[in-house]
Amino acid sequence: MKNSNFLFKKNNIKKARLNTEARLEVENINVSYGKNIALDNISFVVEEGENIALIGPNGAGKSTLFKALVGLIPLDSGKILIHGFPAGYHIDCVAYVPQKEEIDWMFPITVFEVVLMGRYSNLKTFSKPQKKDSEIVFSSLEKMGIKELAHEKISELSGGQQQKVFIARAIAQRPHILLMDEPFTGVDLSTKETILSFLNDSKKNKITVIVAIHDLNIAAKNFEKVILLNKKLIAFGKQTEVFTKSNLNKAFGDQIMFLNGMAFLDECCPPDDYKKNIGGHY
Amino acid sequence: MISWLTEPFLHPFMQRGLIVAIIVGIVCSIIGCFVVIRSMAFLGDALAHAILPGIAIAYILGGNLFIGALIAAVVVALGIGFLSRQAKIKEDTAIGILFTAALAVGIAIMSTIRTFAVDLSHILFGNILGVNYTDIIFVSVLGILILLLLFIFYKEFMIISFDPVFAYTRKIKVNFFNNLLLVMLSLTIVISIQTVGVVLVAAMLVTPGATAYLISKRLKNMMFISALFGILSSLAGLYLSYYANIASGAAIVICATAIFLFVFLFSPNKGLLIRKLRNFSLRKIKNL
Repeated sequence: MKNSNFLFKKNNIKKARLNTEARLEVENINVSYGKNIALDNISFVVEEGENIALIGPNGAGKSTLFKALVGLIPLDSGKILIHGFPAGYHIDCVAYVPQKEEIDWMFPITVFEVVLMGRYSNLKTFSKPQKKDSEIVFSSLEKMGIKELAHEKISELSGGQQQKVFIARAIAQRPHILLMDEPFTGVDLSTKETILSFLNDSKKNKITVIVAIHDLNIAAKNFEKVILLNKKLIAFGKQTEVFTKSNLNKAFGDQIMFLNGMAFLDECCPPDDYKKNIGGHY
Repeated sequence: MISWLTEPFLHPFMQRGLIVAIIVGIVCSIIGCFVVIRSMAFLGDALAHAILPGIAIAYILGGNLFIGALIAAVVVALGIGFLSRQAKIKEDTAIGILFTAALAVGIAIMSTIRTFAVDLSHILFGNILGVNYTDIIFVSVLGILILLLLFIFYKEFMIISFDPVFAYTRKIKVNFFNNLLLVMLSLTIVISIQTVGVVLVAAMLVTPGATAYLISKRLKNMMFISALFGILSSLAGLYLSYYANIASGAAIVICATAIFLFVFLFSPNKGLLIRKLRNFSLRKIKNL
C-alpha cells in the first residue's frame, strides 16, 4: 500500500515512470544460427543505471546477445523489452560499441567523422554538421581525453585510442542503454582506467551499461552485478554470489584454473566449441 | 604547343570521344572510391564481364545494346547477393560462379553471329571513336543520375561501408543501400563500355580511387581527388591514343596506372621513394 501511495504523489510520477521504463527486460529468448543454438532460453532484467559485466567463454553468445538486444538478429522465440518496447524499436537510446576486430581500420575517415556518426539522425547529407552536433562530438571526445586527435585518420591511432573513439561515438548518441563488446581487450592501462571512470560516470547519469568482458579479474574488481553466460544463462546477480567455483566451472569447463583464490582462464588451447565457431581455421 | 594540344579535338569524333571519356572518368573514379574501400574490385571486374550476354541478346533482337547490358549487369549483381546469402557460400565464390557463367553464355550467343570478332573486340576493348550524339546524351543522363544518388545518400553509403552493424542499429536499410550501390555500379560499367571496354573497366573503377586513397584522410576528399585523377587519365589517355596511335581504352588505363605509380613513389608523406630517401638521410645523420 505504501508503495502505491508513493507512486501517486504528483512530483514522483515522472520519476516513477522513468524507473519502470528504463528497464531492460529479456524474457526466455532463443537464438540459433541454422542448427547451432547460440542462446538457449535466456531471461534477465536490468534496472536503469546498473553496470553489468557479461562474462562467458569464446562462442558463449555474448556478441549474439548484444546483436539481439539492438534488434540485429531475429529471435526464434521470447521477447526483449527496452523501456517497455521491443528491441529494434529504438533508434537513439541503445548504443553499441563493437569489438575492435569488427572495424575496418584502413577506412579513410577521421576521428571526428566517426563520432559524428553518433549524431546520424540529426545529420544532413554532405552539408556541414550543425553547431550543436559538433559541440556534442567535441565534448564526447573530451570525456575520453582524445579531443586533440579529432582530425587524425583512425588508422594512425593506437589500439587504446581506437577504442576510445568508439566509446566517444556511443556517448555522442546520448544513449540510455550502452552495450560494449570487449572494450578492455588489447588496450593499454590508461585506456582501461579511462573506460572504468567513464563507467562510473554513466552510473551517476543513470545510463544502463552491459560490458562483455574476457578478464574475470576486471569484472570482479569493478562490477557489482554479473551475467555468466555459456549459451544458457548460468548465473545472474551480485558478483559475490555468481563467481563461485561451480558456476565458473559450468561456464568455462576445463579452461578455468584457480590460484590463491583467484580465477584465471587458460586461453592457450581453446575448447572444441570455439574451434567449431570460427569455422575450422585451426 | 597549343596547336599540338588542340589538334586532336578539331575532329568531331574526337570531341565526342572527349566528352564521353571525361564523364566516364569522373563517374567511374568517384563510385570507384567505394569499390576500393569496400574491397569490391573483383566484383566490379566480374560485373563488367557479366554484361556480355545482355549485349549479345540485345544485338540479336536488334534492341538497344545499353539496355541489354544494364539488365544483364543488374541480374548478375543481385544474383551474386542472393546466392551468397542463400547458398551460404562466400561472396567471391558466388562471384566466380556467376560471372564466368554469364561470360560463357555471352560468348556462346555471340559465336552464332557472323561479325563475331569485330563486335566482340569493340565490347571487350571499347570503341570511343564510334561515339554518336545519342550515346553522349545516354552517358550524361546516367552519369548525372549516379552522381546525384551518391550525393544524396553519401552519408548512408559511408556508414554502411564503414560499420554495417552500427548502420543496422540506426535503422539504415543496409541491404537496400548495398543493392542500390550494386545497381549504380552496374550502370557505371554500362556507360563505360564504349570508352574503355569490358576488360579494362575495372581499372577505371579501381586505379584512380586507389591513387586518391594514398593521399587522403577522408572519404569526401578521396572522392574529389579521385575524380581529378579520373579526368586527368581520360584526357592524357586520349592524347596518347591520338599521337601514339594506340587503342584509346588501353591508353586511358595506362595513364591512370602511371599516375598511380607516380603518387605511390612520390607522394609527400607516404611515397615509397620519399620514405626511403628520408630513412637514408636519417641514417647518414646518425653515422656522423
